[in-house]
Amino acid sequence: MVKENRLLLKNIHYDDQIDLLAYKSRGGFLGLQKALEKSPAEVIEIVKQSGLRGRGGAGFPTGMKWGFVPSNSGKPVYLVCNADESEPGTFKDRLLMERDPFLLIEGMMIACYAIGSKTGFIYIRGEYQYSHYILTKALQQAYSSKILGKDSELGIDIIIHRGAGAYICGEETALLNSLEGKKGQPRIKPPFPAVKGLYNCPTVINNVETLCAVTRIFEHGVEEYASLGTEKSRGTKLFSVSGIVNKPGVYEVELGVDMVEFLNDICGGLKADPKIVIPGGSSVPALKWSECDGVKLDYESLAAAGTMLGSGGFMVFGQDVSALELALNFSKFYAHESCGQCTPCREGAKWLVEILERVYSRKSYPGDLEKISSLCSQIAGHTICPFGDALVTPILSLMKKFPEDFNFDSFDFQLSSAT
Amino acid sequence: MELISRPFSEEDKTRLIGFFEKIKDLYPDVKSCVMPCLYAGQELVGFISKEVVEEVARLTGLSEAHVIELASFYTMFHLRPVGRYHIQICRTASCYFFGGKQLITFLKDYLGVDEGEVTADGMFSWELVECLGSCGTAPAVAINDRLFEFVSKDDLKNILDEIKIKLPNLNYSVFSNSFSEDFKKYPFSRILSNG
Repeated sequence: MVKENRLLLKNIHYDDQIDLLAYKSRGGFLGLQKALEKSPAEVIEIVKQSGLRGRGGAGFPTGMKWGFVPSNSGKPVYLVCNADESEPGTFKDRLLMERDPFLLIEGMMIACYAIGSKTGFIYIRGEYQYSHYILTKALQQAYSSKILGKDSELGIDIIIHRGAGAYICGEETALLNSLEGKKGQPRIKPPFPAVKGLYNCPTVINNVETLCAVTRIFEHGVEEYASLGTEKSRGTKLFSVSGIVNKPGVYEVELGVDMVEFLNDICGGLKADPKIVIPGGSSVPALKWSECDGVKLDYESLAAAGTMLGSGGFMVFGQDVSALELALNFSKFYAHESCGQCTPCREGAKWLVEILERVYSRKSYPGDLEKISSLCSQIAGHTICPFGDALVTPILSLMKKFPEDFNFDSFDFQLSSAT
Repeated sequence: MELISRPFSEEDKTRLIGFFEKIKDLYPDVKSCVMPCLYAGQELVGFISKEVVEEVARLTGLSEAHVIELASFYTMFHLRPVGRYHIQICRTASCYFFGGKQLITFLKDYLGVDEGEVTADGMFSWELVECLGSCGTAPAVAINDRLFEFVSKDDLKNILDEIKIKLPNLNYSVFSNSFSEDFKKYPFSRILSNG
C-alpha cells in the first residue's frame, strides 16, 4: 500500500494561504532562516547534496545549475521562476501557487541568496489569472512586512510577470525573450542563461515545484530530504493525475513508488479498462497499460520503461480512446503552439495534423503513414529547441504501440524511425 | 494586418499612461512593459485597437510593427473585437476526451456562430484553446478571466443563461489585480476537489 508523502503539499488545505502570519505560524521562513546561517556557496552545495532535479520536465540537477552562475561577471544576476505551466496534463504548479504562495516566495529568496541575485521574476502563464491574483496578494504582504524590497534585510525584489497564451514560453530561453518584451521564441544555446540570460546577464531559471522543494530542503534538513526517494531520484514529486482515475488531482509521493499501486492506492483506482498511460505530460512517450506493470515512478525506471518523468502530468486513457484520435489531438496542440522560428517544426507540425486528419477521417492516401514517420524524423533533432522532439514523441510512440488504431495493415506500414 | 480603430477616451488614455508609469521602474528595461501594457490597453478598449498599439509603442519606445507582432503572437491578445463574454473551451486531451468534445458541439449550437465569430448582439464569442491546466477537473471552460471546472453541458447552459440576465463582470483587472464580486457562487478554483 503506497501512501502520499506531503512535503511540499503539507499546508495546501489551509484557507489562510495569503496570510503571512499564518504562514509563519506553520513554520514559514524557517528554511530561509536556516539557509542564511550558511554561506551562499554552502547553500548551493546543500542543494547539490539533496539530489534535487528540475521539476519542470528536463530534470537537470538544480544545485549544479546554480553553480554555473559566474561569481565575478560584474553584472546583476537574475532568478526567474518558470510558472508558465502549460504542458498538457500538468497542473501541479497551479496548485502550489494557489494554495501555498509563500512557499514559492521563500524558495525564491533562498535561491536569490545562493546565486547572489537581488531580483527575482515569476513568469506566470496568462491563463492562470487566479494564481496571479493569489501570488500578487502574497507578494504585497511580503513587501509591506519588509520581507521583500530594497529596504528589507536581503534587499530582494520579486516581480510577477504574466505571459499571454504561448506554450513555448515554458522553454527557458523563449521565456526570457518574452520577459524582455519580445516574441517568445527560443534562443540558440550556448550561451546558456547562467552566463547570458535575462537582459544578457547571468540568470537561473527554475520551475515552481523546484523552488518550493528548496524551501523544504532547508526547513527539514538535507539529510531528511535526501533520504526520500531512490538512490538517484531523491525527494518527492508532484503528479497531476487526470483521465479515467476515480480521484483525479495532484498527489505528492516519494520518487520510486510503483505506478500501478500509485493509481490504485492513491488515485482511487481506475474507472474503466485502461489502455494508454502518459506519465509525464504530452511530450513524453506513451505507454501501453500492459507495459506499466512493475514500473516505478522515478527518473531512471521511467526511462528504462521507454518514457520519461517529464512534468509529472499523468494521464490515463481507457479503451474508448483511439490512439489515432489522441495523436491527432496532441498534434493539433503542437501545431498551434509552434513558435514558427524553425521551418521543420513550423511546417512539419501543420503537415502532421493534415495527414493525421486524413487518416482519422479514413481519407488517407497510400503512403500517408510512411510520410508521418519520415516527417517526424525530419523534425526531431532539427530545431533550435526541444519542441520539435516533443511534438513527434507522442505521435511516434502511439503509432508504434497501437498500430491497429492507425489501420496499419491496409498500408503495409513499417515503422522506420520509432522514438 | 489591418488594425481596427477605436479612439481612446481621455480618461482611458490617462489610465493607460498611469499604469505604465506605475510598472516601468520594476524592470531594468522598459521594453519589458509591453505585455503588461497590452493587457491594460485590452482591458480598457476590449481588444488591441490601432490606438492601443500606437500608445503602447510610444510608451515603451518599441516600433508599432513590434507591438503588432507581439499582439498577434500571443493568443490572449485580440486584434479584433471579441464578444463581451469570450468563451474558451479547452480542446486538449484530458478535457477533450472527458466531456470537452460535447461542450464544443453544444456551444456552437447554443450561440449559433462559428469559432472566432461574435454573436449579432455582441454578447458572445468563442474559441477552442489549448490546455488550461484543469485536466484533473475536466472539462474546463474559461469565460473572460474566470475559470469554470467540471463543466457539463447543462452547467454551461445555466452559466450562459445566467450571464445573459445578470451581465456579471468576469474580468481580472490588471489595474487593481482583482476580480469583481460577481458570480462568486462559482468557485475560482476547484483544484482541491478530489485529492
